[in-house]
Amino acid sequence: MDHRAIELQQALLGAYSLERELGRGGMGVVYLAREIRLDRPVAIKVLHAELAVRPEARRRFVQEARTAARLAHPHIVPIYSVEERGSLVYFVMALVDGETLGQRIRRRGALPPDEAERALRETAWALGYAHAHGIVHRDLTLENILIERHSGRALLADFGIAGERDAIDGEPVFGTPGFLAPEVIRGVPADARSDLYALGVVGFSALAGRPPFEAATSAQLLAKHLMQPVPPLASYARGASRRLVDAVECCLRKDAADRPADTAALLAMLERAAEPVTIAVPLRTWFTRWDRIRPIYALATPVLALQTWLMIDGYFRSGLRMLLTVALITTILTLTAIPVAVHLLFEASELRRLRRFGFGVDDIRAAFPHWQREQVRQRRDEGLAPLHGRVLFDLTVVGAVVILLVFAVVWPNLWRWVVPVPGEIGATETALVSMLSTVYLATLSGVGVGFLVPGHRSSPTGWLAGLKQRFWQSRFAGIIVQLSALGQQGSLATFATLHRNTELVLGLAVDDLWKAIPDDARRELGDVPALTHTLQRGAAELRELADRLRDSEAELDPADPEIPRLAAVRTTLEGQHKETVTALERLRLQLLRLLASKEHTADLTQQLELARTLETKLLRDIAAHTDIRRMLHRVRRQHRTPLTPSPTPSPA
Amino acid sequence: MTGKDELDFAGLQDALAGVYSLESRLGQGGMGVVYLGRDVALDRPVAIKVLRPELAARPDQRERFLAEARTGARLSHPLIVPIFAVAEAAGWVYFVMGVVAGESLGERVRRAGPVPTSEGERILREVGWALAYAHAMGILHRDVTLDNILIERSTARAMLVDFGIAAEIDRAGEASLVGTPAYLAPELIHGDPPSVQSDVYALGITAWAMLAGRLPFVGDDAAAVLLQQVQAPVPSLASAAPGASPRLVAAIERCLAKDPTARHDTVEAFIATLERPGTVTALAPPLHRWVTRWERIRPAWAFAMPMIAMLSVESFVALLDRLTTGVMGYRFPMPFPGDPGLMMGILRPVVLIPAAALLLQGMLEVRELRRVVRSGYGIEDLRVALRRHTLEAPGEAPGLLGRVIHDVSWLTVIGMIVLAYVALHIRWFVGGSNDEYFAFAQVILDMMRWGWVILWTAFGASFVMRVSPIRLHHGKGLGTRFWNSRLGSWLARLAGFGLGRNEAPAHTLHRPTELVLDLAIDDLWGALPDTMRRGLLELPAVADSLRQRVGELKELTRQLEAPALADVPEAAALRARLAIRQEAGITALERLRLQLAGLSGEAVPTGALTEQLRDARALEGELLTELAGHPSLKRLLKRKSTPRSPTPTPLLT
Repeated sequence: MDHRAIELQQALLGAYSLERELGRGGMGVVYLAREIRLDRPVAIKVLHAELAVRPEARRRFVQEARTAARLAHPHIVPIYSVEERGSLVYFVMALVDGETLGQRIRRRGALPPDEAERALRETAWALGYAHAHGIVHRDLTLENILIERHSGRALLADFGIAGERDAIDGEPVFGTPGFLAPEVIRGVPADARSDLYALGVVGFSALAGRPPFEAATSAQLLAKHLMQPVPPLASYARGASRRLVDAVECCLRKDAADRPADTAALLAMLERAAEPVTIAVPLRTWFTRWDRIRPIYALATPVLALQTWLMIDGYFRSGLRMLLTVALITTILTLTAIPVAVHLLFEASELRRLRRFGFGVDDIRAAFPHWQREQVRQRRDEGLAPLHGRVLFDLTVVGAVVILLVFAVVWPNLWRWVVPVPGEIGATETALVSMLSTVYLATLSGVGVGFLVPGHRSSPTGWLAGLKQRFWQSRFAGIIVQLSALGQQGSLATFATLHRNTELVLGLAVDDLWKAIPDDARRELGDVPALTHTLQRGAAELRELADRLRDSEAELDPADPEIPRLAAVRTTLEGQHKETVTALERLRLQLLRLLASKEHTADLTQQLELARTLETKLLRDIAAHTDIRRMLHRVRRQHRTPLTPSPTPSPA
Repeated sequence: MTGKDELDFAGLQDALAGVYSLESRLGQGGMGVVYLGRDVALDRPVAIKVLRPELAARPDQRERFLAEARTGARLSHPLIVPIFAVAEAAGWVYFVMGVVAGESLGERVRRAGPVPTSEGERILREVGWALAYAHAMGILHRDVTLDNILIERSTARAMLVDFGIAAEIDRAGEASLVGTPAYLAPELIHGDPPSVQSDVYALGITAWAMLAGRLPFVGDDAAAVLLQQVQAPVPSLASAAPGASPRLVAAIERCLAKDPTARHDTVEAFIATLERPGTVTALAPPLHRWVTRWERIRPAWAFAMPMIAMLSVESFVALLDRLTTGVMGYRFPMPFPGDPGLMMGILRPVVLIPAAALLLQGMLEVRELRRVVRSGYGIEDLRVALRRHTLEAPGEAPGLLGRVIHDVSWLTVIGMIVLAYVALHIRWFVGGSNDEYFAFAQVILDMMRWGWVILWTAFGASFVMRVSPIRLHHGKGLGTRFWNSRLGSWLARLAGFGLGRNEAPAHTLHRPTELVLDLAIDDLWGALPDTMRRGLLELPAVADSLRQRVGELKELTRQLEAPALADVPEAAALRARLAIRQEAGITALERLRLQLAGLSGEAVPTGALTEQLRDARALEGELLTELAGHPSLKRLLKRKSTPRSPTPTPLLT
């Protein structure tokens, strides 16, 4: 505690108890403190002593803090009180448990695009609210945006309390040099649009991991903000969508009139194509079921290991080799079969449960990518490294290979290779056996511990996950789900179907309607479910391809000659997709009509005809899609060659 | 869906084909029907609200609907359901908004009764935030009701919906009135234009209904309700929602004043009167890791259990044999007949393996402890973390598998006792030759062998599943008591051996104020020169006991805040008194720290410090007597345990 802190503590005695310094800025020092009466942690910002003695600075500080204290918004750090005691001026605000955006970028580098987008959107919400109240932030920087640890939400702090600086022409300017809009540097008073410029700088830094301009002195920095064009963000921010990059770059325009009109306009630009999908609870439980199956294997492994070990031991001690070999094999098989059988039963019951809530294999397929994305994000947040799992896995595989080799290769050739003298066989055999049994025990323990290690989930992007995904995409999985649902009444899925995509929703709706219409009508119409199925799969594939094309476009340099070609292909695909979905929709509508009016209409036949032509077309297009995939692959490979960011030229 | 609905659905879908694809019907309001649909181009779920066809036919209604939806579309706030598009197509008038996966507050109250106070306050704050934003944008909601607040399931946040799109109330022969009768402010009924104050009134009614589980004014028809809005005084919220704090009740009742000028000026003013959200602070990562360390230690045990079972089964049989020989004069077939080291054979696996597992656990514990100490935390932090952890995560109910394991292990124990009884009295059950005994005994022996394996495996499983077959409540009472004991602090100190003094840990928000002060005092005292320290030998001890007294006071206050004691005036008085004592204790600690801090800067003579120290010691003694001899306190706390009969919750009509 330095003397200033002691002085402050003396003044606050009985009301707040200072703990330590959190940081200092241009205007003052921030302390972590406790409010004694309410027993809660707070942050106290104290105006620098040299500023506090200047009545004009002091008045401004107090007044602006009071204005900001009136703001009430989920993304603004609330100010509890503004007080003056003797020579001290300070305000008390809520403590946000987390770090500033700047700290996060310094710690982890550039933010992933979705996180950066969230921070930008939330900050824009907060700014929009403040602007509606006529309050301009004036000092929006990376250090004034706090990211709460447990919720990940962004909170904006320090409204209207910018530090004072001298501008180029000697006039005082409030704010931080790297975040000042060109017009503010020229001396125009800050307004909502200059806040948007600062938000653009924040967005750039978050996405690129570095600010748009860097310079040794603040004068040079200001000059760059005034004169130099912003480096292309797309070449720094990998994986960010074009929409996001455009929105940030739009905020960074030199002329305020070119920027978004207000935060609402910016938010409209940011409006995301796909909201984060909430996976329904039964599905979520289903995805995490692995943790519940693990104990079965964990328990079975040592039993298996010990039992087999004892029997191998007996094999070499006694003379009943033939009998014991059979016994050994049966033991291993039964002891493996029991947990596997339990596991399968468990899986079946889980699938039935899923079915009871109205979810089928299509839902598993549709929700899988969302689940995977969620897991990847969670892993990143927790900073989990699946290292110990890796090591265990490798050791286990090595152990298994050693055992196999010894049994298959060394053992039959023992006499020939190792023991030329027949009399020495016993000793060598014993040595080999004890070595083998040790390796065997270790291998099985590795498997057991691998199952047991808590928090060790298989990597969401690893080979196992890929295998799983391929399994659930396969026809086999569909059959299994149908089998497990034997004798069960399928119920309608509830409201929680948001993970489904449009094609799937339509396909399922047509299936349901199909089951409801009378038999003779069904006979007359032919195999509609197969038709819808093809259309549905086709639409899904078209969408996936179009999405991947869009991603590739965003990753490429805006001037790349490939872009128009990719865009043309994408437009075609999107057109086809829309056509397919519309066909599905019309099919459903006609079936609905048929069900309501109980009569067969010519429209339906016509729609069916259309759908059938579309189906043949889709089937034909599959070959073309392979070409597109090849093209995508090529583009991606080209892109992977390191893109060196163009060196920023020195200011003119 | 009725036939007409189906036709509506098909007609609308026809009009929207290719742009939106309807999925199902979500609900119906005064102005129209809401469908769950999908935006085909963006592939995202949307909610589509369609103006009822009979209203769409009236140009004035149609215009109003469109204008107001456009107004709402200007709003962008995290707690307002966004409106994506407003459009007309083939005679249908509709707007498209975001989907909130959850239920409306009205549904929630109808389903689960009144909302608990703390959650209610949070919901009010969130709705207030959204309303305040809209008001700042110059937009009035005009229809704040329970049904226009949606609670998102995944995040529990409250989102406001349907800005300005209130239905018109039919009042024969009078000027038209827009809104929901049960939420209409009196001045609106008199014909005044809607204002911020009328939204505040509606928010007040919403708050009242949410906390009480029913609406304040109910009547047979709209006219009766409106009459009550104008004339009848608001029923007492304090009696309708007993759990609500007087502060909250006063804030809500002020919203419900008949005179608009008597209400809160703005929604912000209303939010400000609600208590601020208690900051949620997560435990620091090293501490969190330590609290959940059992997760990492468990596998060692789970793995050891089946091993014990497997390795000890033959020894167990041998033991049985030794026991039965004397009783029956009969020998079981033994794997190692006449083994002299029999007892050792039994003891070895049964003792050695748990010992090994214990050793492993000890090593793991020490490793985790060292990690904690290395990041700068001490035993006090561990205690706080442990306490918070047990408070926050009360024991989970065991799942189905857990219960199965529990039952299996008990059944096995019982079965084995029965078998042992049968084995000991074998002559009662089987007559005849020795061969028959032999065969019978063999069967029993095999069964017991399997029982033994099952039992240990079940023990192992119980460690994995975290259910105790013998209901020891391990890891809760015992563990907490261990870490609170002196042994625990020794262990922690031992674990820190050779790690050296660490600088302050980065994350200390979990520490209560008095602990922060006490630790700071310890640090400052440790930094003093030896000569000065000798004069102040008892200071750390005094600070420590003062800190403990304050902690106990806090714990008592917490107990006194139990809902059962909420409306006992005696408890309130006692709470106030304890709060004052608590503050005095913290201030004394604070003074000690200040003096010490001054001392290390060598600015203050020791005389003032000794004085402070004397005061602190006196205060500590006072607190101690207060804590020990508070008869009314004990009486109150005893009363807390007698449950109050819950009041029946009337449903919303």
